[in-house]
Amino acid sequence: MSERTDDELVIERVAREVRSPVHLDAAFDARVMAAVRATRLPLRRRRVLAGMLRQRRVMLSPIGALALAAGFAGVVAASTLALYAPATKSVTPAARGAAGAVPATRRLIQFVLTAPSASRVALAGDFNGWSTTATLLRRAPGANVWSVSVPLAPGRHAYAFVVDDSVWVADPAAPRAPENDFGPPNSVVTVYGASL
Amino acid sequence: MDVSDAELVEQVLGGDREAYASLVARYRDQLARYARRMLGNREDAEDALQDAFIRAFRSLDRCADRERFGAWLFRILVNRCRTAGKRGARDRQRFVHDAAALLDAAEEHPADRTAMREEIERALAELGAEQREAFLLKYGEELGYEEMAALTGVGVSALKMRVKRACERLRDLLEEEVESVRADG
Amino acid sequence: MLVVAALGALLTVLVPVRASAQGQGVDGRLASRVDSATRATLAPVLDSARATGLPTEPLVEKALEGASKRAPGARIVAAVRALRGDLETARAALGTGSSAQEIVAGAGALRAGVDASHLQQLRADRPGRSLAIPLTVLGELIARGVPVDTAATVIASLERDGAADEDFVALRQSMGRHGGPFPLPAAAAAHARGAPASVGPPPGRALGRSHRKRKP
Repeated sequence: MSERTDDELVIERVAREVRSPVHLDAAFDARVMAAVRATRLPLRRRRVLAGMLRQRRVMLSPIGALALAAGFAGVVAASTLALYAPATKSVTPAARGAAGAVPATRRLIQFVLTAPSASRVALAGDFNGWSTTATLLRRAPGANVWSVSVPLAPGRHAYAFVVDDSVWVADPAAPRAPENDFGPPNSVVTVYGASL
Repeated sequence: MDVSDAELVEQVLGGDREAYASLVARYRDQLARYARRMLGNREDAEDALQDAFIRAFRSLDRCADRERFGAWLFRILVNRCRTAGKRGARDRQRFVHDAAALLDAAEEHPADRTAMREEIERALAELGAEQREAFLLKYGEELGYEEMAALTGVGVSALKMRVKRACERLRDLLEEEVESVRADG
Repeated sequence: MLVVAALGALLTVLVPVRASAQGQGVDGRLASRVDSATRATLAPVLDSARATGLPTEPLVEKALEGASKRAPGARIVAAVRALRGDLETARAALGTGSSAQEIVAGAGALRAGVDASHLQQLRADRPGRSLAIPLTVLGELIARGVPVDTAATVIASLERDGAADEDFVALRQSMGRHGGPFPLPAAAAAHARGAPASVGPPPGRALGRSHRKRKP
């Protein structure tokens, strides 16, 4: 190995760092494609510059794209779920539309679980007294995905799924609660106010 | 993925929006690396990336050389990052920005954190935007100066000067870490 | 952009301390779920907590959790006692004037591995201001995989820089709009499945050419 100066070493080290990969997850793709679907297709023919054929541009601000993405999140979640994971998705009241009154201080949180062979899936958490019967998930017809949306007050909530009244399942795609007082581990969802 | 960029672009222009998803998936991580380092945090990088992909979609018919879609897209991203850098400084307070960068750095290398990594993060942030851009294109994306000139619209000699200055500044900022650099190997 | 919009819409973001049947001795909700012997053992724990001003709702929820999971009574009592202990520790570290939300969030941080001294320091750095949000964000950062010391350092530095609640929430938002930036197990597996760890051709060249084959 030839002698390298300290100077060169520093730059090498920085270069290595800035070359290291940065991964975005599939949700990013979903957001982009949601915005793409809302955008007029680019014209195949050559554009005429200036004046005559000036087109109205669909200006999709990041916030606008996000609102759309939130609307599509459920659809995307369903398809990607078949491949790997249940997900706890946050659905803003705006994206949900007018139907379903959600008190202003709470946010509607969607809980999802892929459980192909289950006949019953319940959601139990500190927001429903850990009842194994009060909050049942519904399965979309012909699908393996169970889901339910629950209004939650801001703050930290522990929860788990109960499959077939007997098996406690933590949410694989959500953070784990650090404590494990009773054997089956819990998951955590943290809700922040009415802001996104 | 055996389909070429040119074919995918053709499909999109022919009316198949969904074909664009393949292009997004193909370039997403590569572009994310540049945007993340240029802008210093993940949120701004994602915004810039999303912006670039959507602009590229909207003006896809103007991509002259479809075989070089990637380079054309990258130029759009470089421009988005220039705009984003200015906007971000206005909108978010510096210390939240710094805190977010620290978290991003910790997240990206959870098993392999070194103090050096955070120092590099900070040092890059200290560089002026032009120097950082030039440094990242040269050392991060490993482009030649001609390619960089085509991408940025800046002359080759000016770019060389910017890279040189960036390296000097980085050395100044990181000289205390040199010992640990040796230890890192 | 997004952060600015969020600031505009921000409402109270406090940890909830839900109204419950306070002051009834053993909480009425336990009556149908927990056997009488266990309830009898729990009663003084809850009463003394209430008497000293600790929030009791988390204790009741812990007992209900144990009941639903069909835990033996002794285990339920042990868990409730442990949680009461954490609430007490949090209050001692944060000061006796702390709000219920602060105590609950503080106990959450302790359970996540944060040392009580961090809580003391937060209080010392900015007395007279609610720490509920910073502590909640701290707990969430750790739950999402940030190493405890990194998370504690970041929260503490924000606090010292004079960050407001909105800034802590903004930090949380900057972690990723999909709600979880940190590689959770399933997401990491998805990466391994689909995303190229190291791309074949160097980026410079890849950008200049159309893709024929892409190495997985």
